[in-house]
Amino acid sequence: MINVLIVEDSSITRDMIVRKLSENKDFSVFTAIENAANAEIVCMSGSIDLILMDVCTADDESGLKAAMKIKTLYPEIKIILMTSMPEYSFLTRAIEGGIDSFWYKEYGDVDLLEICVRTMSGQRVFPEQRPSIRIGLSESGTFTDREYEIIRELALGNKYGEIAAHLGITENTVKYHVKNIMSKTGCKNTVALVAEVVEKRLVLPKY
Amino acid sequence: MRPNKKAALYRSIKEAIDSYPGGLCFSAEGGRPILVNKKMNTLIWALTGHTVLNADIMWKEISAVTSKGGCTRINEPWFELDKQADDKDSLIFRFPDESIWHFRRQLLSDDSIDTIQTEATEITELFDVSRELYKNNLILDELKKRQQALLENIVEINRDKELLVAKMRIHDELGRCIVAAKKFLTTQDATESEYDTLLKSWSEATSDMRSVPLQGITTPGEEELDRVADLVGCRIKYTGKMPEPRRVRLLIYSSIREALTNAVRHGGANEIMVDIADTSSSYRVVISNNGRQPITKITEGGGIKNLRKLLEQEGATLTLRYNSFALDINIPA
Repeated sequence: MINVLIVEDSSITRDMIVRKLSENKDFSVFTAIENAANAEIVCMSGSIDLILMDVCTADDESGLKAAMKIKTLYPEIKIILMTSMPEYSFLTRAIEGGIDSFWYKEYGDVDLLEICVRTMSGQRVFPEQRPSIRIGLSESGTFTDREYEIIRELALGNKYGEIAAHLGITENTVKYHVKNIMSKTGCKNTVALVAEVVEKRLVLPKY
Repeated sequence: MRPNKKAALYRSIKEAIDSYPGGLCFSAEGGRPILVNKKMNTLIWALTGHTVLNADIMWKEISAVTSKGGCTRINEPWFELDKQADDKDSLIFRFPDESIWHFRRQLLSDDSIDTIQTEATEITELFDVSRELYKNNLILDELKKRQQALLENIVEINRDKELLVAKMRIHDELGRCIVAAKKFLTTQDATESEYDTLLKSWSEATSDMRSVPLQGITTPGEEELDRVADLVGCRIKYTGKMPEPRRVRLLIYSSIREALTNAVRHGGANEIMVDIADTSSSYRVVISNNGRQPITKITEGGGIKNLRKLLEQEGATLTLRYNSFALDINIPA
């Protein structure tokens, strides 16, 4: 029997996951919680084999950060990160952080139960691509990693000088990237750009 | 110098400064005018009703003008021309033709003589551009505030969207159930398997419906903490009232979590005591446990360091009581 911890603050999604897991007799829901920061305590019980972890959880706690910590403390526990957010960095950070699998709740075409089974058999299952979101005149897939970093810094309200210092580049390079982003999207200014990427949940600096 | 040559020199200087587009006035001690150009006299006429007779008196007179003969004094806090200049030596007026002029007075000094130079410069364009910039900055500030608010609430907004999508899905599901039930009831030869499928569909649809009112209602922090603590054989005992402000509660939950993890992992504790006391200015929270006491002095690990950082960001302080391994926290109200 595979004991599962569900970390999900949406009751509807939680119920849907419980129902989905009940279709396979190998899985048993040990408990379901809403706050990712409490997951580590549940793992201390020594009863958890698999965690289905939402990224944005109750009290603004990041499931991604909690999952990476648990993976360090309990590497034997398998973790599947789940999100309904198309945020650009979640997938990369999950892969780099050693998370076993990743599931886009709204955008994926792979069944959750199938991901659970494959993950427990030792596979790492990740979506082949991120969801494509339209930002102004451009698709989200056309931004480079550096451009995403710049957009993220802008969303945090940082000025060009601060962005340059954070990313270890010159202010002129920041301006060059911003110019390219504006040209791709057709946004009139950085405020309009940030409003759109945040509204479409492509950048969520809190998590 | 012969008198006619001196007069010619004076005329040529006068002609030169009269051709200057701004106003100029040089005066000696006591305000006696030495040289005043036409533009300055024209501007001063508009402000006082006479030309420059005495530069000191002229400055006093225009300093007292707030509105006169269609001229108005401009004193906008957002418009700062010269940070170095003393406020009393710098004045701005709008004239009836909508032009804006900056009057500035300064001492020109050399070893032998002190001269006061009063200068008037047209700044209409600069003023209009600055006003536009100020307005744009206000709009940007407002947009920035909205952007921050959006950032803060975007996940919450997303939950509302998820709920709407879920409601639509349930609506569709119920529709399908009703159609299937009608078909089942009107069909004579329905099988047991069809009945089971129909029952399962209804059961799932009604289960989803029961979840809808619960959506958005989160479990109070203490309740979930109590539950997960119970899973590792630990009980949390509270003394005092949990503060109302969410910011304070979240800091307390984070502290309890850290204390609980350490006490259970390193001390085998099965009881965590949370003592909350509030004064008008702060909340004091002491979190202790009944686990084994540390034999040697504890070094601060990543967890405590992160907690300290989190607390300090909110202006709170953390003291570790090493003898009992209790966390003593002070959070400003």
